[in-house]
Amino acid sequence: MLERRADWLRYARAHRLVGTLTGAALIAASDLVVGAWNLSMPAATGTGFTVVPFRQELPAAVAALAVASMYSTMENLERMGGMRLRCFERAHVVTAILAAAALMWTAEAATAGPGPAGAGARSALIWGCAAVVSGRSFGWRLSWVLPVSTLFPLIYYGHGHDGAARWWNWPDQPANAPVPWLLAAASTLIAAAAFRATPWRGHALRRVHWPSRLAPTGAGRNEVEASNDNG
Amino acid sequence: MTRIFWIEVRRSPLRWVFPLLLLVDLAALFGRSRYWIGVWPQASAAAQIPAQFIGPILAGAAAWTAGRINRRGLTDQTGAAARPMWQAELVQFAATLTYGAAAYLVGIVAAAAVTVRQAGPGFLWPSYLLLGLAVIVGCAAAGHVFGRWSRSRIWPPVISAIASFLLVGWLQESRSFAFGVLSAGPQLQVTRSALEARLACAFAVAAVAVLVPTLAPRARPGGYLRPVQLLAGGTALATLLWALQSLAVADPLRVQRVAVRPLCSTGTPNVCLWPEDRKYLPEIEAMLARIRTLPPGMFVVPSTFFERGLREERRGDDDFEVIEGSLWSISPNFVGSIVNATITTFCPAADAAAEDRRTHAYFELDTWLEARINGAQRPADVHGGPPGVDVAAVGRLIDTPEQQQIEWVRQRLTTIRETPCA
Repeated sequence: MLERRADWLRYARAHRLVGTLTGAALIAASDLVVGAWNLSMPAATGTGFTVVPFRQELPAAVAALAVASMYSTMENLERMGGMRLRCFERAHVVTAILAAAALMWTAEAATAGPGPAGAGARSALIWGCAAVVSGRSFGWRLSWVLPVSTLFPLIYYGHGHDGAARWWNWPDQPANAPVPWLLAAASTLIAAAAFRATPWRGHALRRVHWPSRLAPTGAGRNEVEASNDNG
Repeated sequence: MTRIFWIEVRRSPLRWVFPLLLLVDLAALFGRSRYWIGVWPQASAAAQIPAQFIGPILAGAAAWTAGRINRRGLTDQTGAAARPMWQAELVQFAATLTYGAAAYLVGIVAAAAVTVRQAGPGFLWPSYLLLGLAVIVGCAAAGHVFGRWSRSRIWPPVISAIASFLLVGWLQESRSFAFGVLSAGPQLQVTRSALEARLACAFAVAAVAVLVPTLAPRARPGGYLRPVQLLAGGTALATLLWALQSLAVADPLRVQRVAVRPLCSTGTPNVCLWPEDRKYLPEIEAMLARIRTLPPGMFVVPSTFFERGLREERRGDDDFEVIEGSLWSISPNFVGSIVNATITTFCPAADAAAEDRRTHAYFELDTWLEARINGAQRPADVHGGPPGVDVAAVGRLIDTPEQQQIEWVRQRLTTIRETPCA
């Protein structure tokens, strides 16, 4: 048990968990100040613009940062990690998303009441899942890419001609709206699948189905380096 | 230097972001209403709008790019390079900006291409385009400086993107600090001092991004700070302060434009427009033709209708403005001019009932005139209207025989004229 705890501490240090989660908490706390700021942005509505309070977009930053803590300086080594590390990673990613949701819930409950708190936590959940997909696709350092990319369609196309939020515009729906919760459930499933889609599983899949496409030697190594070469 | 610049452009991670920038630019340009097509100032504002989305994306990407030295652990090697650090930063920042500006430019060319056929002489107004450029330069520079200063490998891009998004959208709400506009019209112009202050701010942030070394010694190539670095960095920061101060004291972003020689139609009554709005002339002339067919002798029609801003405010209470390209929006002003010219005397009514009767008669008359001038009933997407008036029923009236309409109008005019005075 003690050994296990020491492992956890080492894992947390390599992933700078304390620093990142403190940062995410600070950003969530900035909700107290900037949450009520209204942004007026161009949008495809009847009036040509839309006004959104920043509290609706803030969970994207909190969730993206929390999930980005999956990155560690030993990322390449960890790609080859065993069961134990996988177990840690699983606990890590779940904790990160739940922590983001809890942070947003707390910040929103303190500033805007229980209704927006539920919506904020839900947004953090959805964007956290998007961050997992993004992190798996582009590397954990770039887990913010997908959440931040959703902001343009959500803000620009998220409202109808009359200015009412569209059904899929999850940040602008009340906490008790059913569709965003379905979206949250669906994104959780997608994120779980993305988390399981590790390089070695992809490699194994290709070995079974398309053996001819694999280079005879060193394919795995090249793949790791190629996918890590996005800076 | 040029060779290095092209190497940076070829190797920049922005090459992966560029398609996204392009997509967002064109979506933001054409995804909204299309009424701006064919009016130069409107098209200029529309071409500027994507900058408000490109900017934050570019800020995130710039932060990612600028963090490469820290990310790759090459701080000491770059510090030992033969060239001073600011040159490397300048070239990298220029490459980042090239991608952002290129995406912006594509939108500008597209906006000009679709507008040129209808709009006639003139071109996109550079003031609006420069306003968008200021947003792009400022956001890219803010991202670059954060990416360069921070030793974190994950924070700078997401914080830069979200923070510049917050700032651009929030400042939009304020009149004196807005960096962008959501629409434009020929009667408004961007003030020179406001534009210069915004450009100064953007380029001052760019100077900070290139010149100011980070305070964290371990993230700083070269280790120690040389006096020339301190001097250059201090100058850049001072410039930024001066630019922010000039933004605070600048004129409001837009003011009424000085009147120009208007474009007037022929005949009586006629209409005078801002020359930029010439694409509306055929439709407005059709409205004038319908005004000429109003029952003779019942109404006094002004000889000329003016678009707002073409003559002094005092005389132009009923001057019209084309709002969001809808010509229905100008008919109330036509109606106002006609009714005011027809009924010149006005006194407070004797009692509340008489006042209500008169107001209702005015409202019904207005509604009928609007329908007559437009030659159609009120379209479904125009909401509101005078209280207590059955807009649809009055609208249907224009399809009934002329004699019946004259009788209906005469009743309203009599009600108005014979209201007992207090």
